[in-house]
Amino acid sequence: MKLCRVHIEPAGAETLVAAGTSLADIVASHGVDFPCGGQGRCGNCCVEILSGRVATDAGSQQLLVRKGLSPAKWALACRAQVVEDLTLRVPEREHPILTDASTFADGEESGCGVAIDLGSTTLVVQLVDLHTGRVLATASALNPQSRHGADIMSRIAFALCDRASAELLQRSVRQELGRLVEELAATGRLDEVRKVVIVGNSVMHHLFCGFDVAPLAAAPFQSPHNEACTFSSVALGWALPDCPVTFLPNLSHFVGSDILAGIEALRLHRSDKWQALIDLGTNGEIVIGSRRGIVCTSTAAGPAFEGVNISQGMRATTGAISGVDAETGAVRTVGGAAATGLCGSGLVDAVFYLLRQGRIDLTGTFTEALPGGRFPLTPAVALTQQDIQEYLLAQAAIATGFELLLHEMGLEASDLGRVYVAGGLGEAVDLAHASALGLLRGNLSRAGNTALRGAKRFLYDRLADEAEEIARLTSHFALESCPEFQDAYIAHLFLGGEDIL
Amino acid sequence: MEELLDKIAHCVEVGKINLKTPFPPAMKGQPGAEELTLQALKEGIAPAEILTQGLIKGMEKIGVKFKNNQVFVPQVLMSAKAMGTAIKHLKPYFSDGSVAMKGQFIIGTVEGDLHDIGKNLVAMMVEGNGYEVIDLGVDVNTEKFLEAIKQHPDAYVGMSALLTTTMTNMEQINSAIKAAYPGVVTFIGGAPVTAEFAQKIGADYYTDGPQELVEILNRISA
Repeated sequence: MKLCRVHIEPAGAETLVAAGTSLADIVASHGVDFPCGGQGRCGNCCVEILSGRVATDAGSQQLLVRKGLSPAKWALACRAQVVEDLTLRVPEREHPILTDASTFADGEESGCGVAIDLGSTTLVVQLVDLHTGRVLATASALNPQSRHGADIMSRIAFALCDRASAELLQRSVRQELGRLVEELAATGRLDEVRKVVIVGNSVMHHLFCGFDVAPLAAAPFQSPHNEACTFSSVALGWALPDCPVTFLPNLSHFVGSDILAGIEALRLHRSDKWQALIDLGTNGEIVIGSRRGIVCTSTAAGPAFEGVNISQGMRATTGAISGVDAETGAVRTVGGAAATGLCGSGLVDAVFYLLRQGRIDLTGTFTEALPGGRFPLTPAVALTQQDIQEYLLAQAAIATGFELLLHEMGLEASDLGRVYVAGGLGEAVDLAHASALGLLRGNLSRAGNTALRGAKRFLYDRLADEAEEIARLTSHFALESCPEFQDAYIAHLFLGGEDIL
Repeated sequence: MEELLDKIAHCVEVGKINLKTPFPPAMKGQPGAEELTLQALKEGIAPAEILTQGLIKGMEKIGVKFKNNQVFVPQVLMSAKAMGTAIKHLKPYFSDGSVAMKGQFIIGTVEGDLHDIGKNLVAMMVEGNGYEVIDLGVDVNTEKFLEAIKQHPDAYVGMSALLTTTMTNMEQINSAIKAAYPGVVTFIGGAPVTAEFAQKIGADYYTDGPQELVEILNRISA
């Protein structure tokens, strides 16, 4: 077997691999993204070849040319194999990850706890002093499963390939969380940890716990496993004293413990007034609740908000357009870097800008013919007609879910105290613009990382019982069974939030 | 008469449903496909004429525009809605034989899959082009398809799936249909579906969108 030496800039890392190894396997741990799951379609995983040569195919070379990159100097990591010694440079990217600094203590307890937000995209691990409630340290990273698809549906599809694939997804995330736990050791307090609580969506729950995801892939979506699962920290191989590691239960097949934690964080189950919580993602989760009861639903928004299926879409990393000035069209990018693509919040803003300036009509169609059918936001990043359509499909799914859930509960938007928008996209998106487009409505407010905030509360024994209480109070509303869905969906496919039917 | 039928066709093409609907903005406050169809009936225009020279013409136009990426899903859904609202007033004439349909089309989203926007779009487009559509809904298993074919032995059959995980169910359904009714022509479609997949599972046609499907139907039913 021929071994090749691969040198990776700017980290200066060096590794010996067998000839034929995919570049993707080498650079995945260096922050390179694989939104399409390594199928050579999205072009986000390009790396610069500083010296040496790689084996690749014609299709990926054409994709590079379309992106304005020379195939002699660049390669798509997912479509290139090592054939000789190489020096690569991976784009330097920062990945802003939303954590939560809030302090919450329930008095009686001592020792430490670890709260984990296991997101499809990002992982956040926090060490908490249970007596003071103070956060002692936070560690975060990208979910290593992203290598196999940016959104949960592609993750499920990968897990269903064969047993080994599902095990790989399970192993990689367990190991990465173990590594993040080790990062917390600098506090010198890890030996005081008595318990660990993990929250995440139902797919993350199934993959981490080792349950078959096939029931989540097709109707009737009835998984036999939505329960809380407890593991031993030692069995997981994490550098902690022997203590229970509990993945909290899902509320329903597509509403996970991240939402359960969100309900806890916002105290929806204790609220006198009706409140709503919305998490924008491939699977949009919407909850409306008060002390009288809680109803949740999930809606298939598709991966547009994660930048997938958008021609120049990307995650919210360095160089992603995250905002567009509605008057001047000036763009804001993550890290202030030169714009190389568009993330979810940038997409919302770009569509709003085009509508506001009369460049598109309320069906999202360009009002005048544009060269190449593309509207340039910057010299390097443009929006296509198809991109706007992808946005509309996502908007319609979210807005329809919200409207029908309100209707099901006999409520109007004006009956709600607040509509909380959770998660990374909720934090970044311009709420006024999202509202003007018809994506969100009501008295909107950013809620931050409610999953992590709720997970910290669930570290306390007294509140852990509330998880059961919330689960009991919560019912699931199946949008797909709703006869009004089609008409409501059509109405929300138009921009501006006007009643079209 | 022709002018009125052209107006009906135009309303369907631009998605003007009726007087009340504010879309398209340029036609706010004007009568839509529904009122004009009622007017045509009142003026004694034959229902078959209204269907073929008015409604179907509008649907054909929007179908072509959709295929050429000149319009997108929202506009097509509005056109289909305009068509669907107007056609209700013609339905009484379908059963008494005064309007001849081009054929029957059974459609459903396959077992395990609950997506129906795309399926409904195809159903409305096929109906809008003069076929009787038997819509079995979503999560349709083999038995339901077979039962529908038993009742409508001359119908064409369309299967839809939007997930890679449910697309595979098409194979079993298609095989069962072909085994029980070798003469039935089957169509498959949906985002993850490809022509190669259709060939692999023995379905007769894969189409990329509703317009292509309608064109094939018109060809093979003529």
